[in-house]
Amino acid sequence: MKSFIISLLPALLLTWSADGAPSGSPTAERDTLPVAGRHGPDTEHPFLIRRVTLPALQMYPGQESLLQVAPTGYLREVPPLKRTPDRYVRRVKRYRDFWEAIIPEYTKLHFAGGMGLLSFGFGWDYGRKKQWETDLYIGFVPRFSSDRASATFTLKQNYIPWKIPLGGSWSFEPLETGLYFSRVVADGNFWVREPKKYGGPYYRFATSFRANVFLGQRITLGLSRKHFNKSLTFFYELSTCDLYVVSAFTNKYLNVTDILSLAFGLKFQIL
Amino acid sequence: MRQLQQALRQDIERQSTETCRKTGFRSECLLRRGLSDEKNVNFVILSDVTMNEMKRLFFLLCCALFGAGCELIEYHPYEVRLEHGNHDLNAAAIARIESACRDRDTVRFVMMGDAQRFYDETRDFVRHINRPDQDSIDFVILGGDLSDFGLTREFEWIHDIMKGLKVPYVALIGNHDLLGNGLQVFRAMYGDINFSFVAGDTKFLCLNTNALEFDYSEPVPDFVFIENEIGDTVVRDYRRTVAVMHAQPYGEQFNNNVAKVFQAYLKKSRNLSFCLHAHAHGLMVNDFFDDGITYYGCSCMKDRSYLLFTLTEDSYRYEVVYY
Repeated sequence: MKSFIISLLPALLLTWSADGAPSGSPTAERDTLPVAGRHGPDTEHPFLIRRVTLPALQMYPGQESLLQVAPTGYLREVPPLKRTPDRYVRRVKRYRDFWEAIIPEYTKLHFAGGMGLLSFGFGWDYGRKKQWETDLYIGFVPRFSSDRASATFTLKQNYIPWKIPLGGSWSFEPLETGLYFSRVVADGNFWVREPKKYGGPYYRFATSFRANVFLGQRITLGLSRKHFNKSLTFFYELSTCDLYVVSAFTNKYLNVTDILSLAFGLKFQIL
Repeated sequence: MRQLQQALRQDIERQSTETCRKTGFRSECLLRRGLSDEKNVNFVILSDVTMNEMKRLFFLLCCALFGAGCELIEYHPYEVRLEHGNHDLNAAAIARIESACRDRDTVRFVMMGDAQRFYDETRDFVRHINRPDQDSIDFVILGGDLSDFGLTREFEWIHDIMKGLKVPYVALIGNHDLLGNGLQVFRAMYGDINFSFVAGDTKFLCLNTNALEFDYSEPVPDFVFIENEIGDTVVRDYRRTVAVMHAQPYGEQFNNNVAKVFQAYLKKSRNLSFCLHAHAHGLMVNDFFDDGITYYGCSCMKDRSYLLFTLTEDSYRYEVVYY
């Protein structure tokens, strides 16, 4: 057995300097020596031994240290490789950081309001007092008397300037306002840009995009750590869309209630 | 212990005062309860009573809105959800017209034009037609473009106005009514987009001619429908025919590739007297095909005018009325 190892060693050059002889137990830092075989094709360092394995080799039971076999000149220490995280790791970290930064802070459930019977959304709150909120929704409109149901996609911007604590875990937001753009994907005569067949501006508006403005109020209940959500907000909103405003402005016949739309919703604050 | 309570109380007081200052909040109800002492009011604002009152007020408001505002609930401006009773309006109107005009030699009707977003004018039109001195009018034909954007509410607004008419009205589909889900709304609300009815001894052939809004999945004009009408697959007693449409031949909406074919088909119908159209937003009288068939185009509601036709036993006359 011993002779086998001895015959191997000169061939596999040990890169361990005679001066840098092992001194006691290996530290974590020293343990970061290059791994054996790392420098495979390099003729000068054909074989490297981890510093941590040296004591084991030296204390071969019942024998003299194996290392004594190797001529001292053959052993020298290579400086540990600089192990910076490689590009893949950095790339993955960047990717994870990005998604972590834009993780939605709450989810919302929106009933009616010209953006679908029910819309499911998520979003982000920001600002010094978290007075801004941006939501994204996906909703649906049942078919009712038509042939097909349709889907809606909505981008909503909210501004909630004040928050009045009501004591306990309740608070009241007396004003919520903002606007939202809703895109409908349906079977009918819908477009964002007018089709070419009209040969230039003809109807001069987009049937599939509606811009809405709204006013509302909210009440919030803070929840204990037992719950997944930090707080639960109930809100109602009165909204109207661009085409209704145009209709009302050009006619005395229509009054405010004709062009208003009522919505209710829930906000579940997660983060 | 007492000290701790005192400190807590002071702390709450300070906080609530700050809140009040920030929000400018003053509880009237508390003042009315005799807690007029400013210090007390500030302290009590955070009490359960006020808190519950505000909460209750908010939810009461929501319930009230929901109760009073069911009509305000809208899922989408283009939803095809109609008010109860706003279905198959043309069929009901036609039944009224046919029974009222049966066996009559003279029939008087109004051809009105595009009502799109002209609610005030349309309301005045209804008032004008309802005047007691107008009692000789039998029915009204709305020549299409009820809506401007094809929105469901627009159709309902126009019907809310038009249902005030003493006389029945039938509506044709216009190109603006085909935007969004307009076609679905029109079909649910008024019925087929090609239809006919007989008033007295005249058959009114109402045709969808808004070809630009359709692809070849929907024939515009629908020659099969016209053929069936010429062939009188449903036997009806009449002596002459009047064709009614929204978009006139050689307009940008019309399928002008088949304009002459269309005219040839129409002329096969029993004694075609004349044709009516809207769409042009102006008064028009044309003999498009130089064959003696006149196309009368009425103006839109914005011009506050309509065409009043009187069909007598062997001829007809018309007036342009401004109101």
